[in-house]
Amino acid sequence: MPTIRLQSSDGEIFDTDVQIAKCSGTIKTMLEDLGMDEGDDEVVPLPNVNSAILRKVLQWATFHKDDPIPVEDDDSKEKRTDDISSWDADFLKVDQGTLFELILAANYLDIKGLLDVTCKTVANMIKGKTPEEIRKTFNIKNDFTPAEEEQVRKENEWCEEK
Amino acid sequence: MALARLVERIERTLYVHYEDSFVYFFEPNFEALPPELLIKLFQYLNPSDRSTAALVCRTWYDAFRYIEFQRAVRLHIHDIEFVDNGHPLKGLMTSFRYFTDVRITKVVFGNKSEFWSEFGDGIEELTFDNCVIWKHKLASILKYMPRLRRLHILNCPDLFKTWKLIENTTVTWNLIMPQLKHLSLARNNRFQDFHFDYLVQLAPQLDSLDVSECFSSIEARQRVLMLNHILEFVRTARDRLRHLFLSGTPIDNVFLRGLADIRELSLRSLALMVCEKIPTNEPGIIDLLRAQTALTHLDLSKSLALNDSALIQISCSIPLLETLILNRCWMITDYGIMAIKSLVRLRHIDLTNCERITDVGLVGGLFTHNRRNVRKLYLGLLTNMSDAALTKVSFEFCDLVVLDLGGCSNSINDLSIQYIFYHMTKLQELNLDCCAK
Repeated sequence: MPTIRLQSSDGEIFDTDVQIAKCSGTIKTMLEDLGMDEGDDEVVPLPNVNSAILRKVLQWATFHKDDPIPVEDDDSKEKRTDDISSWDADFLKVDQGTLFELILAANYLDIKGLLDVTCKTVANMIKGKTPEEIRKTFNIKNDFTPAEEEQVRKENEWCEEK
Repeated sequence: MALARLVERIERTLYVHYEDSFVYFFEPNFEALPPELLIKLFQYLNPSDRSTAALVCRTWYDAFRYIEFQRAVRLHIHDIEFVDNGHPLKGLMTSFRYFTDVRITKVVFGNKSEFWSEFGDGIEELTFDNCVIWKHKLASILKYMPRLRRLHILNCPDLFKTWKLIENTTVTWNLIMPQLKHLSLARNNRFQDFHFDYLVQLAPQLDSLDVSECFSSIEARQRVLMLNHILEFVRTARDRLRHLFLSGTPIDNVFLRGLADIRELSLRSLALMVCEKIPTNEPGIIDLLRAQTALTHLDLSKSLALNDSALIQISCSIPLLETLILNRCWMITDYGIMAIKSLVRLRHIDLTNCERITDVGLVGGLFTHNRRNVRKLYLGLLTNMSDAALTKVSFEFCDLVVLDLGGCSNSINDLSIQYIFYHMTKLQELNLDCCAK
């Protein structure tokens, strides 16, 4: 089985099945554009992903390697968030720092499925909460002045869902 | 106590150790998520949760201002006098967001307002409902809206009462709204030909006209004049007009014939009410349905004079139909409804209050084909439908999003409801009003 060598930002090398690595649009394009031959001992550097996150990403990609390519459903309507598979839900029982890094990594590596499911997980943590609860959940500092916050609140009051 | 403190200290040490080594612990920094990812994340929220998220911090508020999110909400100003230093305009004037859809209900207009010059640029849809407004005011508001696509002037009697013919010519600046596609004058009784002319001339690209529920309480002569005038407009705009809505407006067979006779008119949406009491040998509705073969949306609500032959004509000549609304078409029987089995593209079917329809018609017309396309099904007040038929609905229409069974007291019992809950997993709205059993 052909493999390639992925190097994380902190220098760790991951020998990875090519088929799994190609879940990542970024790596796939890199391999195709650079004409990297399978079997070369060359290392693909991934300077934006550290080893802990890359390990998680590869774990996800291994489980999902046979998934069909997700179709782009560009409805501007609200998307569902209650359709996370139980494997993914277990996989994403991680601290928020890791979840945050996974979103960044999924975006950088262009793995649509992983980006979708991580965003859904975070969206589920936002739904139904007050602003203060959201800030607490994600440890976000409120950088509005009281007047600004009041302004946004007033605007919301006069806006309605279509 | 001592032990507990020790454990706590060990935990804290581990924690710090992880943080130092940067291996297992990462500081989440959700306020610093790049805007494109925040937008992606916000797409999974409904508008109301999104508005709450906007209050979290400034970067989240910035993501919330993304134009597609603003298009999902509407600014609704109601029950006020529209003056800049009054409530709520005073607060809204300093807003940083765009308002793409503005609805003004029961508002009295005051002096010149900066609101329109400030926000008009972003407005794509504007509705006046039951407002005290006059023509100069309207024109002075519209001139700030180069991007306006849809304009609704609903139930504004004062506008047309005070608008004199002379005002059409005294306007010095020539207002043209190149983006305006849809004009609605629904629920107005007293607008006249020169009002109508002025408004449609604003919009050289108009492709959608709504004059629903108009002219019901005016004398017949005036109504016929206005309907002829509208017909004349449809004739001149036949190349571009695609959507025409007249539901609830009393039209006669002469009007229908006139509409049917306009060659080159090819509508996508049509809504009207056929209620002429006098039976006729040459019903205009049949000719009209025969001519409009490209329709995807057909609403014939409250057509008390619509009979089975119209439905048979629809099934023969309009194969692309996706929406069919027959709300309160009392004359329709099983024979007519069985004909619609050939309409396989239907996504939205409304048979509310078609009292004569029984299981025979439903099974023959609705349940015969693969109806997987259907998303919305309205079967309210069908008193002749049995629970067996309803059970069949739950099998055949398993991808439904909306199901209305209000007042179907004979068909709803514990068993048929359980079938619905079991099979229809995508249902978002279910109406069971007045289902005592």
